[in-house]
Amino acid sequence: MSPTAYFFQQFLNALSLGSIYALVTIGLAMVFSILRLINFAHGDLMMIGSYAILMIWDAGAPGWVAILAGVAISGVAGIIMERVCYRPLRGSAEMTTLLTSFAVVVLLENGAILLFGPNTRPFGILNFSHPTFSIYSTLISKIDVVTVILTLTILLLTALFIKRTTMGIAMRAVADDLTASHLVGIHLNRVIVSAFFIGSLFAGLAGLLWSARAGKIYPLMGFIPVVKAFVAAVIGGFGSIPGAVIGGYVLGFAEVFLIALLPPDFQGYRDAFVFVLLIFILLIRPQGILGAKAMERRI
Amino acid sequence: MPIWGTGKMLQVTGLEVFYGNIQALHGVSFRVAAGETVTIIGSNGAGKSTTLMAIAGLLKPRKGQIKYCGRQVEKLSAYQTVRLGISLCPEGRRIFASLSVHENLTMGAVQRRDRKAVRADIDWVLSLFPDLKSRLEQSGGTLSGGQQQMLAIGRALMSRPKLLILDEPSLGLAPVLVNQIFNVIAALKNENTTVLLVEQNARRALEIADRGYVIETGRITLEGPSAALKNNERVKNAYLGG
Repeated sequence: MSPTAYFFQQFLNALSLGSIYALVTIGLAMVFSILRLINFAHGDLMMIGSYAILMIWDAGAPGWVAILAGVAISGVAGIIMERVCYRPLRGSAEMTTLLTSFAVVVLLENGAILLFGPNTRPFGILNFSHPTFSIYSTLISKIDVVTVILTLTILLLTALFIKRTTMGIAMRAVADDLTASHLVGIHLNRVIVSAFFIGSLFAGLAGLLWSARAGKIYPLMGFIPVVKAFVAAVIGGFGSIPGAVIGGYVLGFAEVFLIALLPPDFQGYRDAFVFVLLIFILLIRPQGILGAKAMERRI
Repeated sequence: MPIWGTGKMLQVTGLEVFYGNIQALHGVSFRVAAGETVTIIGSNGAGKSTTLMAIAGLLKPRKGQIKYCGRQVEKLSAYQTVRLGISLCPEGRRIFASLSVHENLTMGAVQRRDRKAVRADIDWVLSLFPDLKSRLEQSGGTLSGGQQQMLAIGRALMSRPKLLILDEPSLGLAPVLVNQIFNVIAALKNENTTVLLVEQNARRALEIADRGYVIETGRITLEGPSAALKNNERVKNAYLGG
């Protein structure tokens, strides 16, 4: 394979991985910007969505029905998570809600182990009969193409939503000044539920793409992506939605090209390099690329 | 000239508000009639802002009643009081810094569904504050203090309130801007908007208001027509600089 072809292949690979990270990170950032809650259970919504898709598909539904229903279930699961786990704690210290999110992780992941068993299951949806094709001797996998196109479409729609719609502007207003949002008459619960719903839909979708990429699912599958999304959010600036997207892609590219450039012996340490990157960023620019200088307390 | 006591818009009775165990209001009572401009004057920490926040639904009183247009509103949240026509322009402006001027005004009308009328009201607000006209796409945080205050008042007006509550609108502004703000309040008064005004600048407040109340350590200690308060010795010494 020519070096150019290899480069393009890795480029697409990075773009695809970065897209998934961006999708997961947006949800994390949306909720954080409004509630100052780092919801580590966000990754488990990917797991819930993926299991839902697989079960609906196994029951005989067509693939697109399973996907739509599974992503919707993930969105609803996010709403339930907010209502049951986080709303009763509204107004408590950030440490409390952070620890609660870990409790939700333990609950959901062990619940999934009880329900589905601890083993991996093959995830065959979006499993194309010819998974790759080649252009100018560059081997391109279809799932990467699907991932990138789908994500870019969603990012565009999200940008329009946040920029143009009343709910989008209200989300930014709440992130800006909570008291003033109350005073102008913004219904805070609606904004919070919308943020959870949208973020969880994206998590469901990211779960689909992640599982299709891996070809398998398991109850703890949400852990690595949410930690990666956390890193991406830190890179981009926690709470900033454009920052979440940038952070997702920076992380995707950093991971893929570290692996591509490093000698094969080091490839097993891929995640270690990611966390070294995190520590490095926290040291030199703790507010991230687009982050505000200081984070004030709220709610 | 409003007739006091008729068309009672707001009636606050025996309001008690606590911050934790600290009592901020010890039974505050006052009223505002429809079309009136009423001011509450008092020093820092006397309970002015606390009173306003309780009316707007940001704080829940432990005791007492707030009656607005014939209904009890002391248990309502802010988004509900806004729906009923109460709009508080808070101390310190609190505009949305990362939102554009236009978006700030849009958020002031967040509960309204009459899009056409909202657009017309944006024009109306811009006619009150022409300085904002050329800055519609600028983000709120880049405005000067005076412009931010104008935007905050404009945003409060965007919900088309029946009762406009202004908390320290002239705080920290240059005299020219203070004049501009008070001119707008006078214009609103002429349009028969009911205004409840809290001000450090007691002289200006009493000039524009029909009636006034003096609040001291969480209690109303004096009340009366503005002209009478202006000539009251205690008010003169404490708030009008002798």
